[in-house]
Amino acid sequence: MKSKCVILDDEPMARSFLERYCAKTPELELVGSFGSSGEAFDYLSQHEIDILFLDVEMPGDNGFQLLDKLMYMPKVILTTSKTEYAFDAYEYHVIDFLKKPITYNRFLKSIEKATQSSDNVTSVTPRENDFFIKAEGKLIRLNFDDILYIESVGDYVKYFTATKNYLTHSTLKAVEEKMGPHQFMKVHRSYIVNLRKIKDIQDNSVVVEGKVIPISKSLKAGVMLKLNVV
Amino acid sequence: MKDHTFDPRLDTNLLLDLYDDDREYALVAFSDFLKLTPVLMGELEKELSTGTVESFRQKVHKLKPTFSYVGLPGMTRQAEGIEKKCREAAGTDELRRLYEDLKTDFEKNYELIQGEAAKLSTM
Repeated sequence: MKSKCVILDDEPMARSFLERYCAKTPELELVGSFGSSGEAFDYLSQHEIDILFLDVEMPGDNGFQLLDKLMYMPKVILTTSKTEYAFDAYEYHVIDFLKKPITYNRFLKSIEKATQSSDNVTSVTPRENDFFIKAEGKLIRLNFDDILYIESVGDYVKYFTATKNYLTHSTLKAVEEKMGPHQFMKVHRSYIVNLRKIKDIQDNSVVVEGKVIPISKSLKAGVMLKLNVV
Repeated sequence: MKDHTFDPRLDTNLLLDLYDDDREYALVAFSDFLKLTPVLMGELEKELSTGTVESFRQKVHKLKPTFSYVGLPGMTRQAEGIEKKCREAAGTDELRRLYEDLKTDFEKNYELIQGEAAKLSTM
C-alpha cells in the first residue's frame, strides 16, 4: 500500500523538488502540498496521512506548532538541517532531517527510514478507544473513557480526567471532529462532555463529576435527544 | 545529464545529483530561480530598509537554499553567514554590507544562470 504524504514548505522551489521526488517514488502518494501552515492544518485536520515533509521555519505557525495542533502524529521528515531543532525533533518522533537542497538519493534514504519505522510505531498508534494528545512536551495517550469533559481555553483546549488535566494547543472544533459523535457531544461553545460521565441534568446544565457545565440553548434539544431523556 | 554539460563555474556535481538525466526539470528549476529570486532579493532589500533584523533574517532564511538549486552553493553559504550575523544581533551597517556583497554576487551570477537556462531550453 502506498504511503500518503503531504509537503509543507513555504519555499516554492523546495516544494517543487519534493513534489517531483514524491511523483518519482512508487511507494508514495502525494495527497497535498502546501505553502502555509494554515492551509496544511486545514487539510491535516480532516485527513490522516502517513508521512509529512515539514519545514520548520515558516511565517505563522512553525512546523512544531503545527504538530502541536494535530490530533494525531504522522511520520515527520523535517526539511531543515538545523541542529537546534534536535530536541524538538526527538520529542515529536521525527524520522529524519533533510538538508536543502535535497537530492533524490538522500530523499529515498529518508523514505526507507520512514518505511522501516512503521513496524516500530504501532506502540504509539492510537487504538480505537484511545488517542494521543501533545501536552507537557510529549505525546500522552488518553483513553476516551477516562475523559470527563473538554473545555476550550482561548487557542487551547483542556482535557479533564478524574486524576489530571491536560492543556493542549487545539480547537474545540478539531476535538469534536476527532472524538466522534457516539460518546462525546458539544453541549456549549466552550465544552464537549463525555456523555457516559454525566451524573445529573439540570435545566440548562449537566453535571460531570461535580462540575456544572452549561448547555447552550441552541444545543439543548440535541443533547436531550442524545441522552435518551424520557 | 547525458546531453547537457553545465557551466564549470557552477557546482556541476551538485547539479548532477539534483537533476540526474532530467533536463526538463532542470530547465523548470532554473526558470523558477530566474523568476523567483529577484523577487526574494527585492523583499530582502525592503526588509533591510524598513523591517526588523528578525524579519530580514526570515527572508534570508527563505532565500538561502534557492541558490543551491542552480549550482551556487557558495551563495547559499553566504546567505547562511548573513543569517548567522542576524542571530548574533549584528548592526544594520554590517548587515547592509553583507547584503550588498550578496546582491553583487547575485547580479553577477544571474546572467550565468540565464545563459544556462537558455542552453537547457534549446536542447
